[in-house]
Amino acid sequence: MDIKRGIAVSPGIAIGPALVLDTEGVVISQRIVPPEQVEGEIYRLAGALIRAADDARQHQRSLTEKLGKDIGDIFHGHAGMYEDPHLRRKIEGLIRDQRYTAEYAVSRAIREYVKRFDDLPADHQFVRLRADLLDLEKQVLATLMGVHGSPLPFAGEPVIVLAHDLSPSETAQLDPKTVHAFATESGGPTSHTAIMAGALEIPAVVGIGRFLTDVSGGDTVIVDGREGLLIIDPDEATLARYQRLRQDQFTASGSRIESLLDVQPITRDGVRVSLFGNIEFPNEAVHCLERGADGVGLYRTEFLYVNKSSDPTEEEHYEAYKAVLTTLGPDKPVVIRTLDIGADKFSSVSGLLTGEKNPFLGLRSIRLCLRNLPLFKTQLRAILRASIYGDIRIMFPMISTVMELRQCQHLLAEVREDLEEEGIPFKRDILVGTMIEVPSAAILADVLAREVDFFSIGTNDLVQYTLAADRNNENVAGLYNPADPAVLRLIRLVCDAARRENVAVNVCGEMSGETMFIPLLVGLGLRQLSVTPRKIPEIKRAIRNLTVADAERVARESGRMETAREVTTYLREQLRRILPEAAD
Amino acid sequence: MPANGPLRTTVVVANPNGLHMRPATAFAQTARTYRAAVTVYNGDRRADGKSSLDLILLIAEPGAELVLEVDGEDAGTAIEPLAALLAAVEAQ
Repeated sequence: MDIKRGIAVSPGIAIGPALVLDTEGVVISQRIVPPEQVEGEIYRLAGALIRAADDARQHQRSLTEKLGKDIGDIFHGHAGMYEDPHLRRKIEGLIRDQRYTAEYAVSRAIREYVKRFDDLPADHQFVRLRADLLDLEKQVLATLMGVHGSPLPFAGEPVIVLAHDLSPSETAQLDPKTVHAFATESGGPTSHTAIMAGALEIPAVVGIGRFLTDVSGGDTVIVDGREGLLIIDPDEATLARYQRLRQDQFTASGSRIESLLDVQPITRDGVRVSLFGNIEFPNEAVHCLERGADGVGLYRTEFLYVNKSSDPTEEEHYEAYKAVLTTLGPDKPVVIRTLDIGADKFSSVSGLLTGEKNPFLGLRSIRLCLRNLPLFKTQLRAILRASIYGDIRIMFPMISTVMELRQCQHLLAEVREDLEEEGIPFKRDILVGTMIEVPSAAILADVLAREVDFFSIGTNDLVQYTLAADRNNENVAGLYNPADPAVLRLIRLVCDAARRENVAVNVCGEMSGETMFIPLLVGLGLRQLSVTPRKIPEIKRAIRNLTVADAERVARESGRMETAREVTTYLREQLRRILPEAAD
Repeated sequence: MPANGPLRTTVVVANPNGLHMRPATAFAQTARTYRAAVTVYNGDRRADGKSSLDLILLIAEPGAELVLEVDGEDAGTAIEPLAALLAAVEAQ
């Protein structure tokens, strides 16, 4: 048994087999090219930078959804750097003047930048940027050398990742379901490893110093994220002790969250706001509970379909929904959003479309489901069958007309009849709602309100469709802003219509997880928010510091403004006033 | 409008994480929307304000006094919003 001490950066205890990351750097074999190949190297460089920027944006998208904007922003920054004309000019200069290969020039250029950070002390806050630069180098080199794909292959077994250091791109490719902890030789409390571990809510210890030579892949290791220990090949007594400790512990990060667990999200003037969690995998349901959520406000079911060689069976759906309901118990609602992706992700229907020009305006989500009834009915059957385990609710995404909604209701009725005929038990009266994310649905909210039990405003897509701007397109991303007055008017419209028809409204996009928008949303009349579980304590705190009177004032004032910039500045000011600790 | 000489102002970095990747990216994006040349100095280090890479290489820690220089037709409209971005504290 070997006990190594490092810096504890994310609490909790993990016990499992080690996965040791290969720490060999990339070997650049050729440095110089003959003069006639110089232009070719310039061309290769250009392609590699474009590709690296695309990959970074993809990471940004997927991680923002899973772990929030802070994590996604890291990749937004990386993408900006790959596209930075300075970087490109510098590397091109080396290629032209020295006749370096693209690989060698990239490495030389980046290492020169990295030197600026060499004199900083190891725990300096800017040291993380050094890791970012090295990550940029690695990604561009990987593209140039045609090496792609995850350096972290997982066969689905839970592992503890051990490495010298973890770059943002490496951690972006991790499957949170199988990585239970990190331990690294280098890194400090503000390193990327620490940040990712915090976001994933898994234990991590960094800055241990050299230890990789003392451990082999498959060895049993323990990571103690509270004391900052990595224990390699623990003896029986130690193993037993940690197994007991692990059972007793939440992985919540610190007493601040634990103390909020039993506290309600009630405003200072006594109004209760319901806080739900957004999940993608059944095992995230427990995170909602640990944070004191009132239930699951959005269960994104797409992950049952992606990266699979065949579509999930009704049983697979049923088991997943049953697992979530069982975890949450009979009284906490679980809102299932039916399938919401494009045909390209599907094994059974990807032949349906070849090269849609506008996938976001095309055959996806509910439209795809309505064209593929067996697929859709499978999911609906599973949801109804699982309903006996708790308070399951259904909502349909991307509804753009009343006709679509009625077709869905009709199908649901058919599925109910089928199950009755087959003698399979289910709850008859589960609540059915619709997402409001297409502007037409928001505008006709009064009509839709008469046909459903609840609304859920999907602000991410609502903002995109309303401003006709793709948030992932650098050229227009500036237009995408949830604070835009047009978006605010639509939200108000939806809330007013819902109130008149006595229909509950929830907000489940990123907007509800940003503290700055809480006074505004509450002021517009929202009493239900669904956020990524990690954010629940923060949003709870915001609600407890608010009065509805104040919130309504904020909503009124914002409603008078003409630009997103004015609204944002105003909301930030208000946040500082109402919640000074939250503004920092 | 005839171009004036370069406009300069001093800004103190208030963000507790300094001018790291996120504020540098935001600043560079905004700077690129103006025609004027934008330069930021941290002591004897100089950065092109339209390059997020250049900006992080300034290693501008909290409390650092930066000189923002804007030179060109729309320098007048550019200088305030850009100075505000450098002085901003990130909202959480």
